[in-house]
Amino acid sequence: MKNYMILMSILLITILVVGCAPTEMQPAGEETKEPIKIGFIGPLTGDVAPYGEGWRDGALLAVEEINTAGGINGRMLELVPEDGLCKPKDATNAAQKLIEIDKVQAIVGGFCSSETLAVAPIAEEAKVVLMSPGSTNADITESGDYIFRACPSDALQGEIMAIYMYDEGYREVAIMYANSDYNLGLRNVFSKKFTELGGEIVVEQNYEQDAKDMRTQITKIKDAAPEALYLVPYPADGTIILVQMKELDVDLPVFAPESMCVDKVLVDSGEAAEGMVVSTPTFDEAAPKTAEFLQKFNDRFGYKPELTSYSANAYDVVYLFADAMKQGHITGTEIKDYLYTVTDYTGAGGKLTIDENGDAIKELILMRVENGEFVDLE
Amino acid sequence: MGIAAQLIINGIIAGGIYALVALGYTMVYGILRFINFAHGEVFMLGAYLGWVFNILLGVNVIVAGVLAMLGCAVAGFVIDKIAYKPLRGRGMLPPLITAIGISLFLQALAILIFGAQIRTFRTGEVVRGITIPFIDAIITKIQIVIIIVSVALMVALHFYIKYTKTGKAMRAVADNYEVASIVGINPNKVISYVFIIGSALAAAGGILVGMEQNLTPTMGVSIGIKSFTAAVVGGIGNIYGAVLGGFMIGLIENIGIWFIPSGYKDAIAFAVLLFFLLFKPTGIFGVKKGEEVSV
Repeated sequence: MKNYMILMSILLITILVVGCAPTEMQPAGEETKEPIKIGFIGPLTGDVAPYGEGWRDGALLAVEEINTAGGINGRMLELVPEDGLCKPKDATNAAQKLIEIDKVQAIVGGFCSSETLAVAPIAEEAKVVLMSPGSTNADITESGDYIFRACPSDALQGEIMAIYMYDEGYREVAIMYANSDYNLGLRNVFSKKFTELGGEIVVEQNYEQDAKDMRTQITKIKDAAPEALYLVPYPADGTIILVQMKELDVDLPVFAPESMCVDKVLVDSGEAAEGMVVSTPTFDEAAPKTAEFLQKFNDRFGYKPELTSYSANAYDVVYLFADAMKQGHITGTEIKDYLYTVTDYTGAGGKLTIDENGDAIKELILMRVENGEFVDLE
Repeated sequence: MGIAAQLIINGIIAGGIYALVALGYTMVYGILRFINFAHGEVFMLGAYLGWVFNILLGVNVIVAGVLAMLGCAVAGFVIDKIAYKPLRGRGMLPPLITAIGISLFLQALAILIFGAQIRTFRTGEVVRGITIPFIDAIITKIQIVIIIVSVALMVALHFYIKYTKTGKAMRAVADNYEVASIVGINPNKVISYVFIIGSALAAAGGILVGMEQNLTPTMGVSIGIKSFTAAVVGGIGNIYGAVLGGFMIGLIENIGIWFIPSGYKDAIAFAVLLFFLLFKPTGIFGVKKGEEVSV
């Protein structure tokens, strides 16, 4: 009985407090100045989290700047970050929360392709804009009208690497990839192109994204004796693979997509990354807007984000949303229509044009690891 | 020969770690009849403590390892006192749910303190492994350390359980909780020892894996599940079963993916788990006891 009374009192007090709150916060006679919420979905825990944090901070920086400059016609912006864990299920939960509870009209994210692909149908149905700063899976191109991205599709990246490797004289190659949409997508594009050119995939190995022990997969690759390896991991598992390859004395030329174009991979893998060739969207850190972004980012958060271009893209995406909103495009459908008109937008992530599928058009370059640094090829 | 030998070596290395962690699951289950799902996180905590002592504070690796084991022993003791002891005698479900809570809490704590950043013990160049003569398999120095340390700890545990007074008390309590307390054994004290020893062993596993691979706040999850599988396969509650189960899972997993696509590596361990749950739920060394049947 006593417990029951306590419970009731707590309930009553809660009702009172909650009931009073709005009248206090909302001065009579003024129109609502509630902040406009923008959602964020990205990996904030798990193996990809070190990068996810940098992406979130990129978006956060943009929101803070916009608010300091007066917000959206007097209304403040608010970023609501949710953890997508780089996994379809968690990204879906995050999107449902953002759309149904926070009622956002635009979401920055997802980052991993598995997140974006899982969230795309939900966003499409709710007519909420989903713009990914870093999901490159080719299938995203056709996943819906409300789905955009600030990075180019893998269709290009996988092909470029296949052509490069073939031109370098490799005919029998191995592929090793993580079981995730990003990795699987690249693997499909690459292997299709490479076999078309006349090359052969002699062995293929995959693993769960959070796996740490790849010795047996590497042993199998070694046994098939390929001439080169196309490696499609996320940075953490990629690092382990490079190290374990070296330990197992598997000395193959390694080729990888942008997920390995990360300084931390070079540091953590010691000399095991030497000679690796990576493909990555062009990103000029010396360009005025990019340099300014990096400076501001460092002043605000005190570090330099890895996979920097995606962090800059996140920053740009928030600005694109804000630009739309400043012109009075508040609903998801209005923002969507605005985004299709974006051409030659110069942001922190470089020049950006959105094509009719909602994909960004950007150039790709190849880089090689020499003396522990990424150096431009050609 | 080279490939087969290499696969067996890979399996033994993985198995040694599973076995170390499985011991903690099985010891707690043997006495309390509940699965301590926070055990994988104690493993993670051990790795991080070792990293803090060794890399941040510059303590010698071996000393750092011992300190981390002590730290986790304390953590195991505290977790039991705060989270599990108040729930004793209230059935199996409350402590199980609490264990999942503690597990999430420890993961979040690790993210809070150490960040989601991947940490590594590696400081210098990666060295090529050593080729074992005759069988033509490659093994690294750290992997040799893993095998030696895990086997040494298991042997030490065997003698501890078999010949010390506390060890005998543990077996008595595991055999029959009530009767043991009637003859003057303090079960709470014994349970504390179980948590202390199990956590220290998990810490050792954590450091070894941390040195070999790398550290993330979620590193305990998959090892935890595999080790739990190992404990079930060996016969949960039986420490020799846990050791056998650990090596078995390690070997089956690594040899298995030689024959089927490597993406199914984790599935293999669970297929083995399912097989045992269906056909031999008591595991290899498990003995049917009244309470266990009801699990």
